[in-house]
Amino acid sequence: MTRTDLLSIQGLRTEFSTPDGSLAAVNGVDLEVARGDVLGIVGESGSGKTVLGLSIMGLVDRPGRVTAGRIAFDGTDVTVFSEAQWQGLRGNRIAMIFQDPTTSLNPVQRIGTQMIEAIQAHRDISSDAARQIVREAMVRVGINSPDERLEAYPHQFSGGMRQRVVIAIALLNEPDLIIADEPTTALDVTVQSQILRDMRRLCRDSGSALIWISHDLGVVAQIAHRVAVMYAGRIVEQGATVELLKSPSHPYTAGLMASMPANSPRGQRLISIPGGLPQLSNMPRGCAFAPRCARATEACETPPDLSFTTPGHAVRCVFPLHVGAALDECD
Amino acid sequence: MPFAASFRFMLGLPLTNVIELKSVRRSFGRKPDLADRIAISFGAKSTAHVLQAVDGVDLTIGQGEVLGLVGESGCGKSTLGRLVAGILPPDSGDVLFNGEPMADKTKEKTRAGLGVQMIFQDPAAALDPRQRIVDAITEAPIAHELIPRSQARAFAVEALDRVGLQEDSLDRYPHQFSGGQRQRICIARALAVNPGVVVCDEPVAALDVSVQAQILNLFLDLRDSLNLSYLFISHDISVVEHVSDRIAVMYLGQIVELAATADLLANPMHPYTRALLNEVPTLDRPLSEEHSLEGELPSPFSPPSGCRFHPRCPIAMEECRSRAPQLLPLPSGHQVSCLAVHEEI
Ligand SMILES: Nc1ncnc2c1ncn2[C@@H]1O[C@H](COP(=O)(O)OP(=O)(O)OP(=O)(O)O)[C@@H](O)[C@H]1O
Ligand SMILES: Nc1ncnc2c1ncn2[C@@H]1O[C@H](COP(=O)(O)OP(=O)(O)OP(=O)(O)O)[C@@H](O)[C@H]1O
Ligand code: SF4
Ligand code: SF4
Ligand SMILES: [Mg+2]
Ligand SMILES: [Mg+2]
Repeated sequence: MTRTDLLSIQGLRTEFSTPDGSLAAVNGVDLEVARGDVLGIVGESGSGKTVLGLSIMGLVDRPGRVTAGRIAFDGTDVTVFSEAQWQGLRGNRIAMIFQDPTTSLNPVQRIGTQMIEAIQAHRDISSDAARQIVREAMVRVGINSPDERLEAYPHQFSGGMRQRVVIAIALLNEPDLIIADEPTTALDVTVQSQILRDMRRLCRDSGSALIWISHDLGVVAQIAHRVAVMYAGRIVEQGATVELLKSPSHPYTAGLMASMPANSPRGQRLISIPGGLPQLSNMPRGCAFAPRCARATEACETPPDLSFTTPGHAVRCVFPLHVGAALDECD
Repeated sequence: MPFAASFRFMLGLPLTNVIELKSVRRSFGRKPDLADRIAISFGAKSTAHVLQAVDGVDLTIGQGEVLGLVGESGCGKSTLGRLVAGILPPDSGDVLFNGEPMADKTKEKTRAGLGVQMIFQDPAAALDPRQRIVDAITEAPIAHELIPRSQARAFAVEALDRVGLQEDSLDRYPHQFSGGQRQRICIARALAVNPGVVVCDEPVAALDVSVQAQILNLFLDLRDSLNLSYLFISHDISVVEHVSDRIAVMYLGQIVELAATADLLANPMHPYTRALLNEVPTLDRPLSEEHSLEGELPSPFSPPSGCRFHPRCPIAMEECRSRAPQLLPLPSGHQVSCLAVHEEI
């Protein structure tokens, strides 16, 4: 770990025990995030992005468990933290914006009360002072008439407004690390850009680091410095955003990019990667993508390692694509 | 015939309307009492704490048509979707399904009511956490005798397969799935009762682009084979562009622009639509430093006078403060609600 790394993950494995046996939702992930860094995470639905975020936050619930690996936050291994130690960290130095805003808001408590409590849990300030901070935070994410809105209950908000409340809560204490899980799926593009600018400013000015999990490749292109692509619990490709999106090396990444609606004529069937994610309880022996990969050969039956093709660009594939070849490879 | 509806549409042939909305309104908060209504009828502004979520919307959806709906977060899209789906009654105005007033599904559950289904924006809230997936999908089809109970599992396997989920999902509970998997379960459940109209509220926002492509292909296939119609709400303009025949743009409870997809995107007329299209993130467009929309989001508790967009409109004129524009068709058929545009023509 270098001196500036805020988060360093090695060999992380998170498993769920199910009636069909144990499944590894996160299966050997290494990751480094420095202060001020914005890391985008993209990948197949069900590939383990949320579970990775929950693991970093120490929030994996039974029957799930982190079974291997080390997560160092600011130099300290947090996998051995007690719940009391977590309380001081969570919501204060590390915050997560959850994928389903409804699950992180209490349905029977007013929005204002929830936000004020989020501040007072970590700071010793009066309710009036907290309320003032909360009002400003609401306006900052574009919710007007804060006084009326703070009296409301979550179900009285639109989907995007709930999402913005969750974002506002996560930013209240200016955490060092923010894990944002699909944070803008319910936001129109103008509100979304406003929030992207706000987050980018926070990273630049206060050196907060951001992990941005998203399916929207356009948004990832706009905010992330680096991108990691996940497939079946593993990182299969990682590199600088511009380079990775311009010339993806892993066949899965290339297939993903080809599936974007802009690549097919309006109203026509879209390109998509054939097949689906393998059952995590019954994974292929070698490369997990092999059953869907047009390039697969016998050589792919040995699990490939994540190795560098160029400095800073790593890929987990025996036959990575070459620059410029990306789109022709999938149909 | 593939794309029958879009051909009819392109040729300007009339579509049979499966859904028709006439001056539909819906507010939240304190219901206006008689005194309020009298005051309002004399021109008083509605009192605070009443929020007009949908404010006088006229809209049609043709048989086999995909109508896209976009607009600012909180402008009333989901509310409009719920009105169309019959799960929220309007305060005033009519919602017609195949020419008949929509049954109020909050009061009665009829077989005809199955004709319009909704895929909700928030899949976590839409599924019962204590219900296994197989039951979530087959409950309505069994209750309405579309399938015998003995075929429930086989039916559910097929329904899940269409959305790319495997048989091992059947006996699991919602919390054991990822966000995108839950969304696909909701899609399978909505399609399980053979609806004629599906209101899709952000149906693919939680899906990676490859699974998204599979789901959009499924929607388009069903449109072609069964002549299904959709109200398709999404913030992802490239998705709306891909599937929609027409697109409606909403702002603070009202439709401000409505046109055929190609027309709307090539020639956006309302200043709000222009600002919206200006900020669409693409792979090669860096995030601009400036906001394309000046001014603050207005509060729906006290919407601006005149044109509701005037405090933020870059081309607002003096009269926009007092006169409310109407959604009027231009000779091209493109409908827009803007005084400046109407003046120009
Ligand atoms: N409580 C649980 N019990 C069993 N399996 C689970 C549980 N929670 C998650 N999983 C499984 O772990 C895998 C990873 O889930 P995760 O939520 O991390 O996916 P994701 O990458 O965030 O997907 P999405 O993009 O759809 O949100 C999925 O296959 C999911 O079914
Ligand atoms: N049950 C309710 N009680 C009170 N207010 C509500 C209720 N449902 C919606 N609203 C309000 O109505 C307005 C429109 O909400 P709606 O959910 O229709 O917006 P939307 O366009 O779908 O937004 P988003 O894109 O963020 O999902 C919002 O101001 C919201 O706060
Ligand atoms: S290792 Fe083989 S199967 Fe896996 S992605 Fe590369 S070429 Fe395809
Ligand atoms: S009516 Fe006036 S304020 Fe409204 S959009 Fe048109 S020009 Fe702008
Ligand atoms: Mg997720
Ligand atoms: Mg909504």
